[in-house]
Amino acid sequence: MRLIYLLPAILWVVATPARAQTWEKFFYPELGVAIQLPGEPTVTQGSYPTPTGPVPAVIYSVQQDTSTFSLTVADFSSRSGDQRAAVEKALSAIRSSGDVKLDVDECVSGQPGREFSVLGKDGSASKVSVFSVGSRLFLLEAKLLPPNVLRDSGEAARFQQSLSFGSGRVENSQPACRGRAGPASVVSP
Amino acid sequence: MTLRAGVLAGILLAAMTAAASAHHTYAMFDREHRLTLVGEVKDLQFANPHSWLRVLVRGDQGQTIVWSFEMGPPGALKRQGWTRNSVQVGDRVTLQYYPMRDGSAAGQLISVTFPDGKVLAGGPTSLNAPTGSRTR
Repeated sequence: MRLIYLLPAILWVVATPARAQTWEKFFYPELGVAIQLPGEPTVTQGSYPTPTGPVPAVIYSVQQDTSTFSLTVADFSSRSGDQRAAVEKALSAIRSSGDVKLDVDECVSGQPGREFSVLGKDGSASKVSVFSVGSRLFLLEAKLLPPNVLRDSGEAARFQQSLSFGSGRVENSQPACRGRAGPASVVSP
Repeated sequence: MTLRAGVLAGILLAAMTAAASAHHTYAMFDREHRLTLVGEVKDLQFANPHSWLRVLVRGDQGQTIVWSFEMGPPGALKRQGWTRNSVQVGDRVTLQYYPMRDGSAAGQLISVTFPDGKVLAGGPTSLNAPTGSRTR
């Protein structure tokens, strides 16, 4: 039989699930954070490097074709003195990782942080957010690899903009900043 | 009595609008420009703190690109006339939106125009008239 004619259909069936993933909201009350992801995340217990040594961290990640959506939550409860330096190091690493297209202050659920859009030297693109809330450092990254950088850029934006703290809703009892648009520091739009 | 009820409703609406717009700033969006895009609805997800509308658009090289548009939270959208069934998969719609500053296939939704001419706003935070306008 001409099985070769069935090959495109077989490939389509095999490939479809990866693109047919639906987005869901995941809320982690023990961490006080909520995020939307294109599927159930893989949860990895690990560590996060700091200038004075690693601290415990948990990483939530979803792979969708050539794109990776991850949220790293580093716990500085036992090393609070190192948290500020770790944040500064993270910001510095992001800024030196490629061509920074956007580098702006952000305020999410009343918590101040920083958002980036970076083009890598390898043709990849990343949307990265860094927030220091309480004793935790939140590092969100959507990394898109060629040739699907443009195709998945909207999904990456959705991932980055869905981050919220507190109850996962818009309320925050003690906002440290206001969720209003301020002047953006656009590096190279 | 009617006046008092109206004032109270106005205050409540303003408070709800402020809360809805307070989830994050809009630094990633270029709110100086309003763009227009035509595409087919992929899906609509009602969610807090933001709902999202995904639309399939044919790219310059023939590839299909999924555009993602941030909308208001479900409560705000319902006040604008939205329901979960306002759009159906495959509907051809015209969108007005504030683009992402980095050129991503995403934006903050201003309005959706349906084939029958009906228009729905994307959410209370996107009703401010921008200063510029261009068409993609």
